[in-house]
Amino acid sequence: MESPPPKRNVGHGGEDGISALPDHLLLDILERLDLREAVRTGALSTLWRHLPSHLSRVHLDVAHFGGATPLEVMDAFTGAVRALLTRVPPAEGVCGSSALKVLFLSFYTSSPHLSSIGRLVEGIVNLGQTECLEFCISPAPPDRRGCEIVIGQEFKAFSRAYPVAFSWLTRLTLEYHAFGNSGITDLISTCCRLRHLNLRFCTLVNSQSTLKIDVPCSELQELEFTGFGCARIELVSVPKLRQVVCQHWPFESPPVRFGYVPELRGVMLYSKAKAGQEPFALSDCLPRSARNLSTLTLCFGDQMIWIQPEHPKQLTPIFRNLTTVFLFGIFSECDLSWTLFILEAAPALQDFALSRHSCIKTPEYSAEKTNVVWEPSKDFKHLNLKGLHIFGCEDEDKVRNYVRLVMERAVGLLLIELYGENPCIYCDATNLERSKAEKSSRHQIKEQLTHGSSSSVEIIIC
Amino acid sequence: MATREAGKKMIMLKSPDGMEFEVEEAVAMESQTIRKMIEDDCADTAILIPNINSKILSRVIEYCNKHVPTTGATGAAASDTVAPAALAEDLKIWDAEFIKVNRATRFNLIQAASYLNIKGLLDLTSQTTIDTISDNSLEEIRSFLSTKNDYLPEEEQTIRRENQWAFQ
Repeated sequence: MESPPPKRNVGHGGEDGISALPDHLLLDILERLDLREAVRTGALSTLWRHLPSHLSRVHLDVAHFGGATPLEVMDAFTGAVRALLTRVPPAEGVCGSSALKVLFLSFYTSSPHLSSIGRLVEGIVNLGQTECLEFCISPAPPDRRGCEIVIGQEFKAFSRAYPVAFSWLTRLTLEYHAFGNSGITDLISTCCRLRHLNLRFCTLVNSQSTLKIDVPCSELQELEFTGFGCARIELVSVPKLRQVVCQHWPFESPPVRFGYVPELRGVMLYSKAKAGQEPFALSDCLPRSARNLSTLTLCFGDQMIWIQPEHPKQLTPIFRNLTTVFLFGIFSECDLSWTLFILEAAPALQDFALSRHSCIKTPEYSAEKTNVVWEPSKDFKHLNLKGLHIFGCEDEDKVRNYVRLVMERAVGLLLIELYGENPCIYCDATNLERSKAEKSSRHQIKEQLTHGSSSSVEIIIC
Repeated sequence: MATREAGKKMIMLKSPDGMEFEVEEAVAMESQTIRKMIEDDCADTAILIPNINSKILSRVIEYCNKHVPTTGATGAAASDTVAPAALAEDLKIWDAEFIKVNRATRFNLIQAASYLNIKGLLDLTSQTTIDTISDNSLEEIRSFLSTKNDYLPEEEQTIRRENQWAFQ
C-alpha cells in the first residue's frame, strides 16, 4: 500500500489548524472557490502565499478587472495572469500539485499586453500538462461599438509570435475581427488541438467573398458563426466536425454549404430574414456526407420562413438518421402543415418541436412574411415519431388542425406537449394578459382533441 | 473477488493505533482506495489504514454505513417504500448532524476522506471551510481556520497591491 501524502512541516497556526492539511488538500479547497476568493487567501499567512499560483484551473476574464482606460484594465488583467501563471517549483515533499490543467483567458487585443500573455501562456503549455486552453479575444470596448471592426493585424501578429501557445488552444472565441480570405483556414491549421471555434461579429476583409474552410487534418469539432460578414461560408473539408451553429447571416442564403463533414451530428441555423434573402431548400445546404446528422434546429425569429419545403427524395439521404428537429420562431399567422415535409424526409425522427409567436417588433429591412403552403403526400405515414412539442398555442383552430394532422400521420405518436409561448422581451412588457389567454387556448385545444376520440396519445398542458 | 450470495462479506480495517473494525465489504468499498485494493485482491486479511486514528476511522465508517447504497432484500424493500427525494432529504439532515464536530476532527476527516478517496465525505467536510472563506473577511477567516497572520504589515500590503483585482 502506498504511504499517504507527506505532511507539511507544521510551523503556523495551532495544532488543530488547517495548516495540518497538506498542500494538495488546501488546493482542493481553493479550487472549489471563486478564483478571486482563492487569490485573496494568499494574504492569510505566509503558508498560503504561494498556493494560488499552484491552482490547476484558472479562469480570468478581463470584464472582472477595473481601470479608467482599457489599457489600465489590461494592465491589471496581465498582472493577474502573471501572478497565477508564474509557477514556482512546488515545495519540498509536495509533488505534482502545481500543474495548470485548465486555463481560460478572456482579454482585449492590446499589443503591449499580448506579448506578455503569449510568453506566460507558452511558459505554462511548455510544461506539457495543459488539458484545456481557451482564449476569448475581443477589441477593447470603444472599438466595439462602431461594429465597423477592423483589427485583425494585432491578432495575426499575436498568433504568429506565439505559435506554441496557439498550438495548445482547445477553444477559441474571437469577436469583431477581420480576416483575409485564407485567414481562418490558416488559423485552424496553426491551432492543431483546436476543438471549438466561435467567431462572433467577425468578417472577411472583402465581405463580398466566400469564406472557405478547408482543414482536412484539423481536430475541430464545433464551429459557431454569429453575424459573420461574408457572402457565404463553405466548409470544404472539416472531417471531425460535429456541431455547426450559424446565426444572423448578413447576405446570401443559404449561409453555409457543407462539403466533407462525415462526423456532423447537429446543425443550428438562426436568422431573421432580411429583404432580398430568398428562402432556400435544405438539400442545397446540408451535407450528403453527414451520415450521422441527428439534430436540426432552425430558428426564424418570428419573421419570414427562410426555408422552402421540398420533396423527400432530395432530403431523405441527408435526414435518414435525424431524430430531433426544432423549428423555432414561426410567426403565428403562418400555417403549420408545411412542416410535415420534414417528417416525410426523416423516417427516424422521434421528437419534433415547434415554437410560435408574433412579435410586435419587426426589425428594419426585414423580408416580407409570407404564408408557407405545402401539401403533405396523401398516403404518407410516419412510424417513429414519439413526441410533438408545441410552444405558443394561441389561435386554437390552427394549432388544433395541425395537431390532428400530425396525429393522423404519425401512427407511433405517444405524447403531445402544449407549452405557453416562449418569453419575448418586446411583447411581454406590453401585454401581461397574454399568457393567461394562451393558457385557456391550450385547455380548449386539449378538450377538442380528446373529446370523443379513441386516440391513446397523451396530451399534456405544460 | 467473488461476493457470496448468502450472508454479507466482511472486511477488517485496522487503524495504526491497533484498533480493528469489522465492516461489510460494500461499506468499505465506499472508499475508492479500499475498493481498488479489494478488486486487485490485495485485501485478503486485514487492511491497515495508515495515518488515520481509530477515532477518525470510526467516524468514517459511520459515514460509509449511512451512505452505502441499499441493496439486497432489506434494501429493496426500503427503496420501494421510501421515495428517493425523501431518502436524499434524510441523508442531508444526517450529514448536517454528522459534520457538527470540532475543527480538528473536521480537518482530520478531510485528510481521511482524501486518502481513502470518498468523494461525498470530502465534499461534506470541505464545505464548511469553503463557506467560511467565501463569506468572511481575512481576519474572520484567520480566526476560524486558526491561522496566524505572520506577514509584516508591508508584506501584506504588497500582496494586496499585487492582487488588487481580487480585493476589489
